Amino acid sequence: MKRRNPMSWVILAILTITAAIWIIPYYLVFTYAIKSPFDQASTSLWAPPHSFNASYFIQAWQWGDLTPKFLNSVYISSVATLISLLLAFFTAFSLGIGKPKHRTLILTICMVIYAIPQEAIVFPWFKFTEAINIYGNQIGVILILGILYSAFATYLLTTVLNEFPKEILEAAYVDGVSSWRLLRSIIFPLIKPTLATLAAMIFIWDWNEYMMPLILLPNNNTQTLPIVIATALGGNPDTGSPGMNVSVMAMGCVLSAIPSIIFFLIFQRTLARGISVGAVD
Amino acid sequence: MKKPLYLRRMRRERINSKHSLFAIPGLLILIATVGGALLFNFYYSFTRWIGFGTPHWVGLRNYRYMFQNPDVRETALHAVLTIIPYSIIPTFLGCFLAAILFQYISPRFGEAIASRFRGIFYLPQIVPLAMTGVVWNWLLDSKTGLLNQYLHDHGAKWHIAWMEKPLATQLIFALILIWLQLGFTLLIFIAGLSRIDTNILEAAQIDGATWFTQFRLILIPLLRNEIAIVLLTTSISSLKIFAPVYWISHGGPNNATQVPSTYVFHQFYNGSNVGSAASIATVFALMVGVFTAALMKFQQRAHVVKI
Repeated sequence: MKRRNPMSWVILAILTITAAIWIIPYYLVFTYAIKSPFDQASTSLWAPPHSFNASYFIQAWQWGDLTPKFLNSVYISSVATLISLLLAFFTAFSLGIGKPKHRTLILTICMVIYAIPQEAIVFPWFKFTEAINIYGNQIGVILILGILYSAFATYLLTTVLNEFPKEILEAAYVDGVSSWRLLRSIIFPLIKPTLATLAAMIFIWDWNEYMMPLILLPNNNTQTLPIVIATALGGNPDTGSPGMNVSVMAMGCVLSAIPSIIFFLIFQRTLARGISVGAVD
Repeated sequence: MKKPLYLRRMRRERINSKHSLFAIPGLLILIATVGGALLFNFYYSFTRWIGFGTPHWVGLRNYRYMFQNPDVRETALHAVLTIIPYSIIPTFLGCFLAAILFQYISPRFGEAIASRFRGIFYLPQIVPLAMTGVVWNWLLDSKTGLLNQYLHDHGAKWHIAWMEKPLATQLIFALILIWLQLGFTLLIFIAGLSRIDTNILEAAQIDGATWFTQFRLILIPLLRNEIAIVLLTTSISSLKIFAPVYWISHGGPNNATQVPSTYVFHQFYNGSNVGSAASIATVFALMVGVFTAALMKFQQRAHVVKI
């Protein structure tokens, strides 16, 4: 540890103030959500709450009938994530381990698909779901999100499998394993940790997805949790009702952010490496 | 003894061709779905259509109209300008902040403190944007907003219209975008810095280089690759920015913060003019696609992705 001088304390103080500015919007909402009505009236906006008050949590949950919406979000995000990984895993195995000729081209296509703005595909997909009679059904959202994010998953898994230890592969080839066996008994167990991180990442992306659910799910009962809360709370001027109880609203915000925050706490270390996931670890 | 080259090559090729069968289902589904959707979108862009009934072929009229329409030009300009607060400023701030946290704070106050700071700056990246939108609207509303209430309680006689005048909104929204994006760039640069060989920095220190000299002459050049990639990825996400505009500024007031994504989305959503929206989306997708392909060409070693 290096010596601290007055200058380093000044820098720390400046940083702390900056960080405080960063966190204040969320801090205000969070503390407001868990303050009791008495606390809200008697203490300053900035003061921390005296005690944890769960009543708004229950109110928000009942007011929005949030249990089915929460389950919608869990259902859509988890099935879509599963589809993405399933589609991506086999492709990435073939590209990363087999190293066919045109794999750079294929990876570029994957990244272009991942980057393309969704509004260029949302309307045709909407017409397609209408044509095959699944419009308004969550399966329409699940399929398109699963397929779209498989592009990114393919890219990431391929770059990981590219670095797969050659010695293991050589040994397997000498023993004459089949592709399927190699995939199932050697590759899959070894990249499970990467798959888990990737799954968590895609799950959160699906959880926070807006454009597809907004267009494909017209009915509030099938809609995802963040969208239901945000539209009901006036996050969207077209549908909002700003006159509602501010505390319930604050609690709604806290609720729909929880999965993302849990994700961050679990995968913080991997994220800190910038999702480079360069090695099989 | 090694087998002859042609034998090894034969075996390799046989194995490779076996593996390549595995790529077919995933790629087929991906390319058929997205490619098909893009083609349909391309077709719609040559029609006049309200979303149901039969599309009416109008040739290039939508494209001509698009280039003449001042609204479209303005939204496109906004998307390009978004690059400043959503890409350029966060990149340089992030670089600087990462260096301070990693090279200055961490050795003096411990890694735990540095990573706590990193977590705080990253928070806007993980909270759903729909929620962040609600939060900012709650703070900045001119009548019921927390900030104005607070000022009112402390003696202010007037209400500040934070998000009601075009220029003021654009500036405030730009600040919010910096606030949103900084965590991402910071994360990437800290990851980049942790790969740097610390011997170079120690040698520089022994030679009497100040912290800022080290930053300018050693860290920046070593982070060149990361800086370029972060600039490019965040530029792409600036051009296609949707959720922050949709949830925080809603494109208003008077379309002052409207961008192509939200503009097209509203046209699709209201079903007012699918053909015209499709033409904008087509041009836009093409631009982002070319940009991304260029990025991939550039991106040789580091695999930095937007999360």
